[in-house]
Amino acid sequence: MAQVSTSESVTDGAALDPGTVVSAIVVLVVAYAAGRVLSAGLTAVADRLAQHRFRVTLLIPLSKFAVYGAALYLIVTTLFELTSAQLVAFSGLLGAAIGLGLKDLLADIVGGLILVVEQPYQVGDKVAIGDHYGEITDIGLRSTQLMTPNDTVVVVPNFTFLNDAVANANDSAAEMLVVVEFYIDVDADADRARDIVEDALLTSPYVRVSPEHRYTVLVGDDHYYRTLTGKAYVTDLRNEYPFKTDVTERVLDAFAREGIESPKVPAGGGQELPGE
Amino acid sequence: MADGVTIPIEQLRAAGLGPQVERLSTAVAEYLDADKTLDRVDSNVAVVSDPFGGRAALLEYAAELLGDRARRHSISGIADADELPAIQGERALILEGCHYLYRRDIDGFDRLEEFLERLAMTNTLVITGWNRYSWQYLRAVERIDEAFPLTITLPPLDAEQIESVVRAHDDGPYPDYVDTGEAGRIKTLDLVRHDVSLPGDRALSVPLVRPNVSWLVSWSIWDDDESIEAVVFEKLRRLSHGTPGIATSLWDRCVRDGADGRTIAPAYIDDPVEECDRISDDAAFLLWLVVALEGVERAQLADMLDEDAIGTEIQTLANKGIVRVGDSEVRLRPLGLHPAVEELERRGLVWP
Repeated sequence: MAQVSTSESVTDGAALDPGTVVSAIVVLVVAYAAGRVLSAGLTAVADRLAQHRFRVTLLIPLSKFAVYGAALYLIVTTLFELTSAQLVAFSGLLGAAIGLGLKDLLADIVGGLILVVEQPYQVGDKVAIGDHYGEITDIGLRSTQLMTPNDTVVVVPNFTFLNDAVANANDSAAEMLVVVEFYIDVDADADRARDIVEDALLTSPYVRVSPEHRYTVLVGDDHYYRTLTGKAYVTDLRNEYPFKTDVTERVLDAFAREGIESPKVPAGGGQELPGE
Repeated sequence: MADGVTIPIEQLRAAGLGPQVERLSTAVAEYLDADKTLDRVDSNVAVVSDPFGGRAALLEYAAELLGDRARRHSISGIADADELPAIQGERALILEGCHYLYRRDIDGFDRLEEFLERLAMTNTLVITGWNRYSWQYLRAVERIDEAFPLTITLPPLDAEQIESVVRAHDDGPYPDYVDTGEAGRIKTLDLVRHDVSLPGDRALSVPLVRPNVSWLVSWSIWDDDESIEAVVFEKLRRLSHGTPGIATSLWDRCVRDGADGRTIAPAYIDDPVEECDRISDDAAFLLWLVVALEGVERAQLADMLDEDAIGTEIQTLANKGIVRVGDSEVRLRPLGLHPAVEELERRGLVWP
């Protein structure tokens, strides 16, 4: 009985000639450019929307991953026309490469995919990752970029998210809770000081008060001084520092007018204020 | 209904304020029929509208209903609010300009809180007028709506109602409606947002395209004189966003200040105010103050803002046609309201 062999060989598929390789490189370059253009365009649209920008920013990493995924699919199936045998052989090579030193890169890419699916944060969020705090400006395949308040761009490998806690201050909302602290002398009128801080919070140009966005002023007693902690939401997380500055300036002016004094350090030294 | 213009009650009803008029009539009638005790504080009324939105006309109507029983008092500025009228001992009080009872600054709510305290301790029927943007802010931070069981909010008007307002405002003779072959700038499609409820108390805001049916229908009989008239008033409604005081300002500008004063065409009605974008944060807050208070003295602005910056910011807004600068006061221009509100909404400064 004649036997018909249908097995594939590693040498089947498209020829790996310079033309195919160049085509693959062109596809990758075009995909990279398309990803950058898409990201820039969506960011521009999002900035124009101001308060509603988070509806657009969540599309940024999704669109980039879709472009890279389509490019990879095009290269694998159309250009190289990899057969099953070739895919198996390639997987073996990839495994060896990972064992030899690409495991961190792969972990970052896997982290990026998980970020896109789980979305613990998205572009525009204010997050704390490790020692870094700032606004997420880009989520890429391998890394996430955030801009600190000092205008420093921090590139965080996506793998970091898989192991470290990430604190998201606004959870993809425009509003964000901001905390402002003041310290007054133990003999100062704490009630009056509290009223001043509350008024300053409520009359700030940047504040947002609603049943979902409540405010409070807490008074703490720390033996040599009293702490007033004002907490309120801002209309936009980008107003975090203008809000703090506005409230602080007006409260300190009011304290000076009303004779509400700063804490005095006792003779012979005493307890330091937080942050000193 | 524009500042200083009063419209008879029949015109108020024809202009679409029938439900609001009835609610006010009912509140006044119930108060006059019943003996109000200290336990019943359910008669205080807040009339809330946009600037130039017709608040004065409704308060005028309340004054007519109450006659000699009511005393009228108007607060014209923040400083003016230092002398609150007496409430105790009055049968009824009509108080205009209540948005001047607060300042957006430390200790700025003292006068308002004193007023609300007096309201709570009196038998007097108090009918108050409020700027909508101030009302929404104070409702969030001071919960003033709890002191006013009846809140009457004046809605935007449609084209027919705008026509009624304009005819009450302009005694005539009316211009001829002409067809210049074009209608000028106007949107035929609106982008509106519709909230779709999702499980778990969440909502998804979906943008929907809504055609401007009245505008499209008015175009369908374009060759008819009546349709040109309809197009004119529809365009007035669109550019004024249904605010009667702004519609009359636009009408005055196009008819009285127009080319020959005897004709009007849809293309003549245009909004001369440029968009209010690319302004600083200080200018945006100044804009909010002017929109919410309708007029603010420069000295008071200096208290609430960085004194060094306000001159420049005021000039920027004046150059855009948003505000009018007097010797000591900055006032909102009617045609500047909606560009200003658009920018404030974009920045999230309009309170819901």
